[in-house]
Amino acid sequence: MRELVLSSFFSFMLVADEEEGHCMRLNLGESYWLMLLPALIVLAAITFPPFFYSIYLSVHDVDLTKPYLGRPFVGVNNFITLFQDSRALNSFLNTGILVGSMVAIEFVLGLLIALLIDTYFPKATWLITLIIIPMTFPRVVVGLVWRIMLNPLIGVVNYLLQFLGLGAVDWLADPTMAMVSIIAVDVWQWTAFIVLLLLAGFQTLPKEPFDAAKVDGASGMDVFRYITIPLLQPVIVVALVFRVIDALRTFDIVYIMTRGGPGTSTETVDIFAYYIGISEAGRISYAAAVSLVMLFVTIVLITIFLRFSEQWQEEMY
Amino acid sequence: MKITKRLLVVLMVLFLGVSSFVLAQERPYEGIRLAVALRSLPETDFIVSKLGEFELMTGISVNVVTYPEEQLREREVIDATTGAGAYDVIAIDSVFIPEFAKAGWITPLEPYLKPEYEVEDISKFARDLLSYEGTLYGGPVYSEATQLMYQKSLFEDAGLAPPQTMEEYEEYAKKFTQPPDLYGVAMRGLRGNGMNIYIWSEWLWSYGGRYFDENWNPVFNSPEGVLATEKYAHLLQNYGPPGVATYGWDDVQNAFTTGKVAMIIDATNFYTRIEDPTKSQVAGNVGYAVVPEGPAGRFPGNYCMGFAISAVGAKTDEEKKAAAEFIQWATSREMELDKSLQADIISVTRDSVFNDPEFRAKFGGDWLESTMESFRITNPNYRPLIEEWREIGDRLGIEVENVIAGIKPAKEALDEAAAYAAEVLKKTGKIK
Repeated sequence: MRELVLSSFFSFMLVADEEEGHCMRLNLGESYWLMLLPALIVLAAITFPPFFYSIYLSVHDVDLTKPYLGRPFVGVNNFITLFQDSRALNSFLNTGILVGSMVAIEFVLGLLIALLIDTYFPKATWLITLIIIPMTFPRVVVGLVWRIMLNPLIGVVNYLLQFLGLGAVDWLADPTMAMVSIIAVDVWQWTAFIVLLLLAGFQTLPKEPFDAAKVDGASGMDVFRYITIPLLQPVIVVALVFRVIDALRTFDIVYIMTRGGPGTSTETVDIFAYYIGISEAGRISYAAAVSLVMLFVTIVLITIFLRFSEQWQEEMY
Repeated sequence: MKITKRLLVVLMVLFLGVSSFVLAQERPYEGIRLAVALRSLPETDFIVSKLGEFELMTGISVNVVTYPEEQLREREVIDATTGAGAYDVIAIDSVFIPEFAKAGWITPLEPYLKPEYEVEDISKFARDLLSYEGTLYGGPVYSEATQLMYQKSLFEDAGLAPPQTMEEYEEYAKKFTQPPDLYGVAMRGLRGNGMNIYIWSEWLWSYGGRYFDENWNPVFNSPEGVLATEKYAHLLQNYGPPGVATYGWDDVQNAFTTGKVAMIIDATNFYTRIEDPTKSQVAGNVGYAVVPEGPAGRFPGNYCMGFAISAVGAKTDEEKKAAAEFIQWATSREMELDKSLQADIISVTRDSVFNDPEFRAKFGGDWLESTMESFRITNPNYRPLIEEWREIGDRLGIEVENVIAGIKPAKEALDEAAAYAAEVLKKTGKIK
């Protein structure tokens, strides 16, 4: 069942796996691909044209607001510019820091909360409802509300800090604190996503291995390390892949809370591409090049991650 | 009083009804449909609320599309570059007139103007702001300058007059700063050609700097520019509320209305909000003055929003005429006076409205004097009216924010922005 869920999640990647693979053969024969065809056609129609157009853009010099300059072919110039542009490199670095810290903190926190709920309150659905409330808010609203709460002059956060006798913090105008604030807000909103997936995972785990471990006298830690985690591994991979892909596209919260500032200290790749491509300038070709590099990085990251998790699974068993 | 007011309204409605009936006989543009892209402001909301009259009068049916501030320009750029032409009339910020005109996305308004529009009545700087290479492209819906606003009671208690010079401004800012209850100043720190650069430019000019030399080489990183930037950053870092490095205009306004800031320099139209007792703790306690004078003079900033004819949307001559008709109606003297008197809107663009007795009776005082004087002396090229402005101004905004946030020294930051500006100007051929 889990494989089926997974394969519907990653239709592309895992369909190939299952072809060679071990478990689910649904006995659909030739009609297997036929049934996927409509979905594939729709997917191709909405992803390929923009993709190829961005490749076209990235090797030309198109400036949206300066049509009189023409559209000269410039080869890989835009990509060379990228690697010499400190602002662009800075945006990749910022994205790395954001994604790394957000996903790591969310995962550890999420795992702990999920374990806690699963162990002590397995029947408490109200608790889960409570936890996922932040997830239901639109990100723009979350950004706006936090921006106001973090305002050093009129915000409630500093008010509480001062009430407790602590000093005021310049949450969004200090380069380091701005990054910390954004990470904190994302963690506040999206940890619940990990909790939700892991809890669902816990509930699908078979009982037998745990009973056997108990009979053999395994400690709680051993059970967690050698049974829970390996059995949960596919769910963990899904949760992480989803969070990483989502975090790589972080835009709304940063845009609302800091606009990428102060200076460029929280400018992510997406925000940078948006600024130079459409907002502050019309350098759409350069923005396309930046986005393509970002796409490439994402694909490489996810591939490495999936390979790594496969290996991990083999070692575990 | 109330009865006479009501009577007046009834009479006006009757008059309008009769006049529109008469005009309806000769509706010259029957059947033409216009799409207008704008952002929701009290100014445009008021105009939209009167659309029925215009439609009845001309036979043009108007469809309004509203966007938030930051998306309006993007929508218009996308509409123009893709050639979609979804809008016939676009609301446009004065700083983008050169960009749009140079790209051929807007049509000159001048040839379509009727004498009753009285274009000469529009404040000179507003006309200049909405022109490109000497041709008027837009009718102004909204204009503002920057001015000094201060808490009167604080100054009275201290026995001070509002600061006349930059030195006094800094001195008083220091004097009033008593964190966390009171800060000397608040001004925009947030990056953007219309954010921190809008206020920072005053410092650049006041300290004798300028944007470009005769050959379009960027020179805002000159020693004067560096000094101006250091002064601006110093004020905000030492006498501004915490977080001021990322303050937009709304943050400046909020901080001032809480009564925690002694002086601000920002837009003249803050008046409506900061004098509203339901939204402001300083209502009734605000003094207004022209911005302080620097070593090189006084330089209030300026901004204007106008309606322009989209060359991509309004293609036929008839459509252009109808679009011009709409713009002249929406930005007419009568409309502006109605806006002010009926809806308390004070982003006035016409001299005659400023001088109207009813307007003066309602809004007279130091606000009016300071605003009129600022309009008179403001330099249209306060922010350079060139098609490359957005790109250059936004990049500069990042660097100025870097200085205010203490990330980079002023010289290094401005050099970087100047190098970028030079690159842009080389690409467009201004620098040979």
